[in-house]
Amino acid sequence: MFKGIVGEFNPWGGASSRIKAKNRLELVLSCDRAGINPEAVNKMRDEIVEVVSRYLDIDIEKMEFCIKSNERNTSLSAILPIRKFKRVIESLPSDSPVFQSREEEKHN
Amino acid sequence: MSRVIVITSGKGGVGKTTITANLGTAIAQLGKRVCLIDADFGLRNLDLLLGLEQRVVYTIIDVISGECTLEKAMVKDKRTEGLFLLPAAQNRTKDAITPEQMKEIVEKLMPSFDYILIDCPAGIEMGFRNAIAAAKEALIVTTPEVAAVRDADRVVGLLECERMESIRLIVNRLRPEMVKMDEMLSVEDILDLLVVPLIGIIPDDKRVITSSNKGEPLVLSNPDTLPAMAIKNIAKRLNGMEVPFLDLMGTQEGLLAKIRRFFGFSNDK
Repeated sequence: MFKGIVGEFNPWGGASSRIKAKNRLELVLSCDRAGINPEAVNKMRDEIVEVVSRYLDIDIEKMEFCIKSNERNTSLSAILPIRKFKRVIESLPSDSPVFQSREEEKHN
Repeated sequence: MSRVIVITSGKGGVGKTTITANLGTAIAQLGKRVCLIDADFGLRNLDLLLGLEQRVVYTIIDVISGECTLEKAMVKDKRTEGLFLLPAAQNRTKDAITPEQMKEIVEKLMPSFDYILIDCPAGIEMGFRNAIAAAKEALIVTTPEVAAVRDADRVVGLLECERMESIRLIVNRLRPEMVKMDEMLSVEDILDLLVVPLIGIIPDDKRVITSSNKGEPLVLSNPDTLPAMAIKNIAKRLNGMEVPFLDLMGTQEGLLAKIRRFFGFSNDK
Protein backbone atom coordinates (compact mmCIF):
# COMPACT_ATOMS: atom_id res chain seq x y z
CA MET A 1 0.00 0.00 0.00
CA PHE A 2 2.74 2.44 0.95
CA LYS A 3 5.19 1.00 -1.45
CA GLY A 4 7.24 3.52 -3.29
CA ILE A 5 6.30 6.46 -1.13
CA VAL A 6 9.88 7.66 -1.05
CA GLY A 7 9.88 7.57 -4.83
CA GLU A 8 6.57 9.37 -5.07
CA PHE A 9 7.74 12.00 -2.69
CA ASN A 10 10.78 12.74 -4.67
CA PRO A 11 9.96 16.24 -5.87
CA TRP A 12 12.15 15.61 -8.91
CA GLY A 13 9.90 12.82 -10.22
CA GLY A 14 11.02 12.92 -13.80
CA ALA A 15 14.42 14.12 -12.75
CA SER A 16 17.68 14.38 -14.62
CA SER A 17 20.13 11.52 -14.30
CA ARG A 18 22.25 13.69 -12.00
CA ILE A 19 19.41 14.14 -9.50
CA LYS A 20 18.45 10.50 -9.81
CA ALA A 21 22.01 9.46 -9.06
CA LYS A 22 22.14 11.73 -6.03
CA ASN A 23 18.80 10.54 -4.64
CA ARG A 24 19.69 6.90 -5.14
CA LEU A 25 23.05 7.40 -3.49
CA GLU A 26 21.50 9.23 -0.55
CA LEU A 27 19.35 6.21 0.25
CA VAL A 28 21.99 3.57 -0.42
CA LEU A 29 24.72 5.37 1.56
CA SER A 30 22.37 5.86 4.50
CA CYS A 31 21.56 2.17 4.46
CA ASP A 32 25.21 1.19 4.02
CA ARG A 33 26.22 3.35 6.97
CA ALA A 34 23.38 2.13 9.18
CA GLY A 35 23.99 -1.45 8.11
CA ILE A 36 20.43 -2.05 6.96
CA ASN A 37 19.01 -2.77 3.54
CA PRO A 38 16.54 -0.54 1.67
CA GLU A 39 13.88 -3.24 1.82
CA ALA A 40 14.06 -3.19 5.61
CA VAL A 41 13.67 0.59 5.57
CA ASN A 42 10.52 0.31 3.48
CA LYS A 43 9.11 -2.35 5.79
CA MET A 44 9.92 -0.25 8.84
CA ARG A 45 8.26 2.78 7.27
CA ASP A 46 5.09 0.83 6.58
CA GLU A 47 5.00 -0.49 10.15
CA ILE A 48 5.56 2.93 11.69
CA VAL A 49 2.81 4.40 9.54
CA GLU A 50 0.52 1.60 10.60
CA VAL A 51 1.15 2.25 14.30
CA VAL A 52 0.81 6.03 14.04
CA SER A 53 -2.35 5.70 11.96
CA ARG A 54 -4.03 3.99 14.90
CA TYR A 55 -3.88 7.24 16.84
CA LEU A 56 -3.64 10.00 14.30
CA ASP A 57 -5.07 10.63 10.90
CA ILE A 58 -1.89 11.26 8.98
CA ASP A 59 -1.55 12.53 5.48
CA ILE A 60 0.38 9.71 3.91
CA GLU A 61 0.78 11.51 0.64
CA LYS A 62 2.66 14.35 2.28
CA MET A 63 4.78 12.32 4.65
CA GLU A 64 8.55 12.22 4.46
CA PHE A 65 10.47 9.27 5.72
CA CYS A 66 14.19 8.98 5.30
CA ILE A 67 17.40 7.90 6.86
CA LYS A 68 19.67 10.89 6.58
CA SER A 69 23.31 11.42 7.20
CA ASN A 70 24.63 14.65 8.50
CA GLU A 71 28.35 15.13 9.06
CA ARG A 72 28.56 11.36 8.84
CA ASN A 73 26.06 10.81 11.66
CA THR A 74 23.04 8.88 10.57
CA SER A 75 19.53 9.47 11.83
CA LEU A 76 16.04 8.42 10.94
CA SER A 77 13.64 11.25 10.32
CA ALA A 78 9.94 10.86 9.73
CA ILE A 79 7.63 13.76 9.07
CA LEU A 80 4.04 12.62 9.30
CA PRO A 81 1.62 15.51 8.66
CA ILE A 82 -1.50 15.16 10.81
CA ARG A 83 -4.86 15.74 9.24
CA LYS A 84 -6.76 15.42 12.51
CA PHE A 85 -6.60 13.69 15.85
CA LYS A 86 -8.67 10.62 16.25
CA ARG A 87 -11.05 11.33 19.14
CA VAL A 88 -12.16 7.81 19.72
CA ILE A 89 -8.87 6.12 20.57
CA GLU A 90 -10.23 4.40 23.69
CA SER A 91 -13.24 3.03 21.93
CA LEU A 92 -11.17 1.79 19.01
CA PRO A 93 -11.23 -2.00 19.08
CA SER A 94 -7.78 -3.56 19.10
CA ASP A 95 -8.48 -5.36 15.87
CA SER A 96 -9.90 -2.26 14.21
CA PRO A 97 -9.01 -1.99 10.54
CA VAL A 98 -7.15 1.30 10.79
CA PHE A 99 -6.87 2.07 7.15
CA GLN A 100 -10.50 1.41 6.60
CA SER A 101 -11.46 4.23 8.98
CA ARG A 102 -9.23 6.59 7.06
CA GLU A 103 -10.83 5.57 3.82
CA GLU A 104 -14.25 6.19 5.33
CA GLU A 105 -13.35 9.72 6.31
CA LYS A 106 -12.26 10.39 2.81
CA HIS A 107 -15.61 9.32 1.49
CA ASN A 108 -17.53 11.49 3.93
CA MET B 1 59.92 12.87 9.55
CA SER B 2 57.98 12.02 6.45
CA ARG B 3 54.28 12.19 5.79
CA VAL B 4 52.81 8.82 4.90
CA ILE B 5 49.79 9.12 2.62
CA VAL B 6 47.71 6.30 1.14
CA ILE B 7 45.82 6.84 -2.11
CA THR B 8 42.73 4.67 -2.05
CA SER B 9 39.23 4.43 -3.54
CA GLY B 10 37.49 1.14 -2.95
CA LYS B 11 36.42 0.85 -6.56
CA GLY B 12 38.99 -0.03 -9.20
CA GLY B 13 39.66 1.95 -12.34
CA VAL B 14 38.98 5.41 -10.92
CA GLY B 15 42.54 6.61 -11.39
CA LYS B 16 44.38 5.82 -8.15
CA THR B 17 47.60 4.73 -9.80
CA THR B 18 47.60 7.55 -12.35
CA ILE B 19 47.07 10.06 -9.56
CA THR B 20 49.80 8.46 -7.41
CA ALA B 21 52.30 8.66 -10.29
CA ASN B 22 51.44 12.25 -11.14
CA LEU B 23 51.03 13.50 -7.60
CA GLY B 24 54.35 11.95 -6.57
CA THR B 25 56.06 13.62 -9.51
CA ALA B 26 54.36 16.95 -8.73
CA ILE B 27 55.42 16.83 -5.06
CA ALA B 28 58.99 16.01 -6.08
CA GLN B 29 58.88 19.00 -8.46
CA LEU B 30 58.26 21.14 -5.37
CA GLY B 31 61.69 20.06 -4.17
CA LYS B 32 60.60 17.31 -1.80
CA ARG B 33 62.01 13.81 -1.55
CA VAL B 34 59.21 11.39 -2.44
CA CYS B 35 58.95 7.61 -2.28
CA LEU B 36 56.07 5.91 -4.10
CA ILE B 37 55.16 2.47 -2.80
CA ASP B 38 53.13 0.19 -5.04
CA ALA B 39 50.97 -1.84 -2.64
CA ASP B 40 49.07 -3.56 -5.44
CA PHE B 41 50.71 -6.98 -5.27
CA GLY B 42 49.97 -9.20 -8.23
CA LEU B 43 48.55 -6.32 -10.28
CA ARG B 44 51.33 -3.80 -10.17
CA ASN B 45 51.05 -0.89 -12.57
CA LEU B 46 52.65 2.11 -10.91
CA ASP B 47 55.99 1.25 -12.56
CA LEU B 48 54.25 1.17 -15.95
CA LEU B 49 52.56 4.55 -15.55
CA LEU B 50 55.83 6.09 -14.41
CA GLY B 51 57.63 4.53 -17.37
CA LEU B 52 59.99 2.72 -15.00
CA GLU B 53 58.94 -0.87 -15.78
CA GLN B 54 62.23 -1.70 -17.52
CA ARG B 55 64.20 -0.71 -14.48
CA VAL B 56 62.45 -2.82 -11.86
CA VAL B 57 64.85 -5.49 -10.61
CA TYR B 58 63.83 -6.17 -7.03
CA THR B 59 60.51 -5.73 -5.30
CA ILE B 60 59.22 -5.09 -1.81
CA ILE B 61 58.97 -8.88 -1.34
CA ASP B 62 62.71 -9.26 -1.97
CA VAL B 63 63.33 -6.65 0.71
CA ILE B 64 61.10 -8.44 3.22
CA SER B 65 62.70 -11.82 2.51
CA GLY B 66 66.15 -10.26 2.92
CA GLU B 67 67.22 -11.01 -0.64
CA CYS B 68 68.17 -7.40 -1.21
CA THR B 69 68.49 -4.17 0.71
CA LEU B 70 65.80 -1.53 0.68
CA GLU B 71 68.13 0.87 -1.14
CA LYS B 72 68.74 -1.67 -3.88
CA ALA B 73 65.05 -2.27 -4.53
CA MET B 74 64.28 1.42 -4.92
CA VAL B 75 64.05 2.67 -8.50
CA LYS B 76 65.16 6.26 -8.97
CA ASP B 77 63.17 8.29 -11.49
CA LYS B 78 65.90 10.04 -13.47
CA ARG B 79 63.52 12.62 -14.93
CA THR B 80 62.41 13.95 -11.56
CA GLU B 81 64.92 14.81 -8.87
CA GLY B 82 64.03 13.24 -5.53
CA LEU B 83 61.45 10.74 -6.83
CA PHE B 84 61.78 7.03 -6.06
CA LEU B 85 59.61 3.95 -6.59
CA LEU B 86 59.44 0.86 -4.41
CA PRO B 87 57.81 -1.72 -6.72
CA ALA B 88 55.29 -4.38 -5.76
CA ALA B 89 55.82 -8.02 -6.67
CA GLN B 90 53.91 -9.05 -9.77
CA ASN B 91 54.09 -12.82 -9.23
CA ARG B 92 52.65 -12.82 -5.72
CA THR B 93 49.22 -12.32 -4.23
CA LYS B 94 48.01 -9.71 -1.76
CA ASP B 95 48.66 -12.16 1.09
CA ALA B 96 52.40 -12.20 0.41
CA ILE B 97 52.89 -9.39 2.93
CA THR B 98 51.39 -8.46 6.30
CA PRO B 99 50.38 -5.04 7.61
CA GLU B 100 53.23 -5.30 10.15
CA GLN B 101 55.80 -5.88 7.41
CA MET B 102 54.44 -2.89 5.51
CA LYS B 103 54.79 -0.75 8.63
CA GLU B 104 58.39 -1.90 9.08
CA ILE B 105 59.30 -0.99 5.50
CA VAL B 106 57.68 2.42 5.77
CA GLU B 107 59.43 3.12 9.09
CA LYS B 108 62.78 2.34 7.47
CA LEU B 109 62.00 4.76 4.64
CA MET B 110 60.75 7.59 6.84
CA PRO B 111 64.08 9.22 7.72
CA SER B 112 65.04 9.55 4.04
CA PHE B 113 61.86 11.03 2.59
CA ASP B 114 59.55 14.01 3.02
CA TYR B 115 56.60 12.14 1.51
CA ILE B 116 55.77 8.45 1.22
CA LEU B 117 52.79 7.82 -1.06
CA ILE B 118 51.22 4.36 -1.01
CA ASP B 119 49.20 3.25 -4.05
CA CYS B 120 46.43 1.08 -2.64
CA PRO B 121 44.86 -1.79 -4.59
CA ALA B 122 41.13 -1.77 -5.32
CA GLY B 123 38.89 -3.53 -2.83
CA ILE B 124 38.74 -3.54 0.95
CA GLU B 125 40.46 -6.86 1.63
CA MET B 126 44.01 -7.77 2.61
CA GLY B 127 45.70 -5.56 0.02
CA PHE B 128 43.77 -2.57 1.34
CA ARG B 129 44.67 -3.50 4.94
CA ASN B 130 48.35 -3.66 4.02
CA ALA B 131 48.28 -0.36 2.17
CA ILE B 132 46.60 1.63 4.94
CA ALA B 133 48.50 0.04 7.84
CA ALA B 134 51.38 2.51 7.83
CA ALA B 135 49.54 5.59 6.57
CA LYS B 136 48.60 8.58 8.69
CA GLU B 137 46.74 10.40 5.93
CA ALA B 138 44.44 9.17 3.19
CA LEU B 139 43.43 10.61 -0.15
CA ILE B 140 40.19 9.10 -1.41
CA VAL B 141 39.82 9.07 -5.18
CA THR B 142 36.34 8.97 -6.62
CA THR B 143 34.73 9.73 -9.96
CA PRO B 144 31.26 11.27 -10.42
CA GLU B 145 29.67 7.85 -10.82
CA VAL B 146 27.31 6.09 -8.43
CA ALA B 147 29.47 2.98 -7.92
CA ALA B 148 32.63 4.97 -7.27
CA VAL B 149 30.90 7.28 -4.78
CA ARG B 150 29.33 4.39 -2.92
CA ASP B 151 32.63 2.54 -2.66
CA ALA B 152 34.40 5.72 -1.59
CA ASP B 153 31.89 6.10 1.24
CA ARG B 154 32.56 2.54 2.37
CA VAL B 155 36.30 3.19 2.40
CA VAL B 156 35.86 6.44 4.34
CA GLY B 157 33.88 4.48 6.94
CA LEU B 158 36.65 1.88 7.23
CA LEU B 159 39.36 4.54 7.49
CA GLU B 160 37.43 6.33 10.22
CA CYS B 161 37.28 3.04 12.13
CA GLU B 162 41.07 2.81 11.76
CA ARG B 163 41.36 6.34 13.13
CA MET B 164 43.08 7.75 10.07
CA GLU B 165 44.28 11.23 11.07
CA SER B 166 43.30 12.97 7.85
CA ILE B 167 40.96 11.92 5.05
CA ARG B 168 40.60 14.09 1.97
CA LEU B 169 38.78 13.67 -1.30
CA ILE B 170 39.94 13.88 -4.91
CA VAL B 171 37.16 14.00 -7.52
CA ASN B 172 38.65 12.59 -10.70
CA ARG B 173 37.39 12.57 -14.29
CA LEU B 174 34.88 15.37 -13.87
CA ARG B 175 33.18 16.33 -17.14
CA PRO B 176 31.95 19.89 -16.60
CA GLU B 177 29.85 19.89 -19.78
CA MET B 178 27.93 16.87 -18.46
CA VAL B 179 27.44 18.47 -15.04
CA LYS B 180 26.05 21.57 -16.75
CA MET B 181 23.58 19.35 -18.62
CA ASP B 182 22.53 17.77 -15.29
CA GLU B 183 23.81 14.44 -16.56
CA MET B 184 26.62 13.95 -14.04
CA LEU B 185 26.99 14.31 -10.28
CA SER B 186 28.58 17.65 -9.47
CA VAL B 187 31.45 18.08 -7.03
CA GLU B 188 28.92 19.69 -4.68
CA ASP B 189 26.68 16.63 -4.90
CA ILE B 190 29.60 14.35 -4.05
CA LEU B 191 30.64 16.51 -1.10
CA ASP B 192 27.04 16.51 0.14
CA LEU B 193 26.98 12.73 -0.01
CA LEU B 194 30.42 11.87 1.33
CA VAL B 195 31.05 14.73 3.78
CA VAL B 196 34.81 14.57 3.36
CA PRO B 197 36.97 17.68 2.81
CA LEU B 198 37.96 18.23 -0.80
CA ILE B 199 41.61 18.51 -1.87
CA GLY B 200 41.32 18.37 -5.65
CA ILE B 201 39.12 18.22 -8.73
CA ILE B 202 40.67 16.68 -11.84
CA PRO B 203 38.85 17.09 -15.17
CA ASP B 204 38.47 14.16 -17.54
CA ASP B 205 41.04 14.47 -20.31
CA LYS B 206 42.18 12.09 -23.03
CA ARG B 207 45.75 13.28 -22.60
CA VAL B 208 45.84 11.31 -19.35
CA ILE B 209 45.59 8.17 -21.50
CA THR B 210 48.18 9.26 -24.05
CA SER B 211 50.61 10.13 -21.26
CA SER B 212 50.13 6.68 -19.74
CA ASN B 213 50.72 5.14 -23.18
CA LYS B 214 54.11 6.82 -23.21
CA GLY B 215 54.94 6.23 -19.56
CA GLU B 216 55.38 9.94 -18.97
CA PRO B 217 53.35 11.40 -16.12
CA LEU B 218 51.22 14.26 -17.44
CA VAL B 219 52.70 16.73 -14.94
CA LEU B 220 56.04 16.42 -16.81
CA SER B 221 54.60 17.62 -20.13
CA ASN B 222 55.05 21.15 -21.38
CA PRO B 223 52.95 23.27 -21.68
CA ASP B 224 50.77 22.50 -18.69
CA THR B 225 47.45 20.75 -19.29
CA LEU B 226 44.36 21.33 -17.15
CA PRO B 227 44.54 17.92 -15.40
CA ALA B 228 48.27 18.44 -14.77
CA MET B 229 47.54 21.83 -13.19
CA ALA B 230 44.84 20.22 -11.05
CA ILE B 231 47.33 17.64 -9.78
CA LYS B 232 50.05 20.20 -9.17
CA ASN B 233 47.52 22.17 -7.13
CA ILE B 234 46.83 19.08 -5.01
CA ALA B 235 50.58 18.76 -4.39
CA LYS B 236 50.71 22.39 -3.25
CA ARG B 237 47.66 21.99 -1.00
CA LEU B 238 49.20 18.89 0.58
CA ASN B 239 52.24 21.03 1.22
CA GLY B 240 50.13 23.53 3.13
CA MET B 241 49.66 26.17 0.43
CA GLU B 242 46.27 27.76 -0.17
CA VAL B 243 45.49 27.30 -3.83
CA PRO B 244 42.06 28.12 -5.28
CA PHE B 245 40.29 25.33 -7.14
CA LEU B 246 40.42 25.51 -10.92
CA ASP B 247 37.36 27.08 -12.48
CA LEU B 248 36.21 24.07 -14.45
CA MET B 249 32.54 25.00 -14.51
CA GLY B 250 32.82 28.57 -15.69
CA THR B 251 30.64 29.81 -12.87
CA GLN B 252 31.56 28.24 -9.61
CA GLU B 253 30.28 30.53 -6.92
CA GLY B 254 28.23 27.84 -5.20
CA LEU B 255 31.06 25.37 -5.33
CA LEU B 256 33.63 27.79 -4.00
CA ALA B 257 31.35 28.73 -1.13
CA LYS B 258 30.99 25.04 -0.35
CA ILE B 259 34.71 24.45 -0.47
CA ARG B 260 35.34 27.40 1.83
CA ARG B 261 32.84 25.96 4.24
CA PHE B 262 34.61 22.59 4.16
CA PHE B 263 37.90 24.19 4.97
CA GLY B 264 36.39 26.36 7.66
CA PHE B 265 36.92 29.66 5.88
CA SER B 266 33.28 30.60 5.95
CA ASN B 267 32.67 34.27 6.71
CA ASP B 268 29.38 33.72 8.47
CA LYS B 269 30.82 31.42 11.11
